[in-house]
Amino acid sequence: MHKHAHPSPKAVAQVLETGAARFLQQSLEGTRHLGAWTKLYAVSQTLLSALREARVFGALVEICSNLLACEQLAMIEIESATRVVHILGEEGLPPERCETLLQNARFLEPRITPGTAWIPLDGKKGNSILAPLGITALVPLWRDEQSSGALVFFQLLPQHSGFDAEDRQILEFLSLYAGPCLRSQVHG
Amino acid sequence: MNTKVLLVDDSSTALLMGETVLKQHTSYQIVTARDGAEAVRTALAEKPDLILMDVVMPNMDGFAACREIRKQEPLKGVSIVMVTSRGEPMNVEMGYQSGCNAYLTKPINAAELLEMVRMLLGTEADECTSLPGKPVMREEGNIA
Repeated sequence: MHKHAHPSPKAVAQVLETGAARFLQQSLEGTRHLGAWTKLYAVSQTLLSALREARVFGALVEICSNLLACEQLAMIEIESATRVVHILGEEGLPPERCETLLQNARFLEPRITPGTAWIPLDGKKGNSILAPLGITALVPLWRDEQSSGALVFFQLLPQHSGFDAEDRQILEFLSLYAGPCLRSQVHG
Repeated sequence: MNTKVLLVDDSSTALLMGETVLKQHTSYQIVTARDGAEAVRTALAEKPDLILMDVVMPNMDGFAACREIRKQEPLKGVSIVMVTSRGEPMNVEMGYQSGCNAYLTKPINAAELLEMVRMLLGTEADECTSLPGKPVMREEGNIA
């Protein structure tokens, strides 16, 4: 992975700790949005522990499976100059899904926007390309001159037909913090 | 004596989620186990009132653990809820055949979880339980 400026592991841990404390407090303050606050608390604590134990991708797989009902996940890197796709990690991905990733860099790369999760099920402009590929969400990890990286979500479990408001908050949270956690792990 | 709930899951994220919801919105005492075999041992030692049991776990899966617990005389009255990502009808059926009282699928809805737990433990509901959410619930022996 090519990485440039990145926050220190200590700084990332501090952000997660602060976030976890805030989410826990908000989940205590009332039952409105209880699920969302509790899930965000669980996500931030899981990432914090994983950061300390250098197992961030494993933690992301666990978050996706338990909180987003997605058991097909890949972490990819796309080289900017060549648009070659590298699968850096995957969980539950059948070979045809891997092939989908390797063959579709031109559609994936423009949608890797730091801080913003791309949800093909939304039906927004441009989503008509990713949805038929079976992709349910694209969470950016980084973007620099050399490459961009993302988490790519495929099929959701049958009982979960799409991402609800709580899921979207988790995906947005991951868009902001999963990348820095992975980079801190690499460079920490 | 405090009402005791045993949470069983090999995922730290899932345990944390369940523990946080229950600790913050009930006065139940929470104990945890990380696989089916540990669940049986912990249940015998702790005598919980309710067990929330994941299915896919190392050593012994949730269905086997449920069957094992149902054989134990000291645990005769315990309620067991399967809490799992395996929501296919065949798995739901296997859950009920193994002796569970209810079946919830992941991702867990916090309000739904509280409602289910309070219903099985017969405790008072608060405003939280009026939030929308339809748990998969049926009487033992009847197919939903």
